[in-house]
Amino acid sequence: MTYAAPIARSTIKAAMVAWCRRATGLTTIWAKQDSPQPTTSYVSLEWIGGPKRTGRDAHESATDLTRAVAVAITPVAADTTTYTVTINGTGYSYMSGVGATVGSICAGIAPAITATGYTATNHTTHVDLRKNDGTVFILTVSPTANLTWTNTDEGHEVQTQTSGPRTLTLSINVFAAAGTDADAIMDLIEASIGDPDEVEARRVAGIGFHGTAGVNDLTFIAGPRFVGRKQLDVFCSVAFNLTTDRGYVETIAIDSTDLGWSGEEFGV
Amino acid sequence: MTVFCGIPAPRHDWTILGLHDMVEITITRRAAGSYSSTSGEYTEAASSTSTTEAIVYPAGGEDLKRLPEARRTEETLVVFAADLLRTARAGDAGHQADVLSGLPSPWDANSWEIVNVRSWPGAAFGYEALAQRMGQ
Repeated sequence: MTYAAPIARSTIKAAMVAWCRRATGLTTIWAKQDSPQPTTSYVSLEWIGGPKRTGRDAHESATDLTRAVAVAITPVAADTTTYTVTINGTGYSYMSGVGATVGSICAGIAPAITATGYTATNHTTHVDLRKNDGTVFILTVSPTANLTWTNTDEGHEVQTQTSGPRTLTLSINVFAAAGTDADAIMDLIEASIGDPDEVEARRVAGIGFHGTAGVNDLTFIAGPRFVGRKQLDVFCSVAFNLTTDRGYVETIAIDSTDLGWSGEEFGV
Repeated sequence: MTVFCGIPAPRHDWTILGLHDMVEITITRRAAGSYSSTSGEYTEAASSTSTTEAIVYPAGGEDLKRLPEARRTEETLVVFAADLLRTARAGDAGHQADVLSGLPSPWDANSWEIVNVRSWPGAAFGYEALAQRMGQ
């Protein structure tokens, strides 16, 4: 398995682009793409530092209820409805007819699940689905109002959720067209950092600013003229959140008449 | 200016080249793409392909002086082509450089990006380009 992205990069990148566009009204791009330079004036953004760990991460255990070894899938009868069972991202569907019953839907769903390495058995009231090698699979169903499933293996995939703060450094560069004042453009960006609406927009996107390195002049000569360029590095804070599956833990139920317990569950 | 088979040859010894060195190569022309106003990411436009007759040989030291210093260590070819070859263009209607493929062996396994072009008006192979191997 691979981990899910721990930082919502696309969300915070879009927020940074939106902010610079609001502040300057200029085309704002991410630097170092294999692409032509836009028409000046424009703003480019680049992550030049981080993520840097600050402090300790927190760990929390949870249960991944989407992962199972064996399940019972139970439909609620509905006419002309597409029932979809999705196993590890691949969907298997059955569409009910008019006058559908739970039995007819079970009879339709079971053969529709043709995934290799799985066994789907029609029990009239529900469909048993099991992965033949006994390992874990990820299951989703739809429509959720008409199709539910329960774990029949009495086990659970245990997750660890690790979260903590990280810092990133965002480099903002203004490239000014001839006759345009790069300072004036950068002033708009710098001044808008503390605007309450911008602070709120960053909060919604999951990013905060905690300082800047000050504006630098990087004006350079390109052929016969100067290109006004100003740079501002902004120190950002983001939330890091990594979810990992630790393994499938089965539970068993035993009767212990000696101790007077019945049906006690133990993790093994 | 020395001319061989209609090919301008201000520096090169064309006596070692002949018409049998001509090959048909493929030009992939990338149209102007656009930057997303929300993500700031560039999206390429559709590309088109065409073919042209060309003569291809490795770039020498004098050729490499036409390139920025940082690019002179990359594998570079000289391409004399009958049709226009384009470098990248910035600004309005900016586009990426043409990409060549179908070059003769031993360069046929790679794609080559045009990084420098000069024209020789009136010559049969009127566009002299420097192309660098992509992915270096």
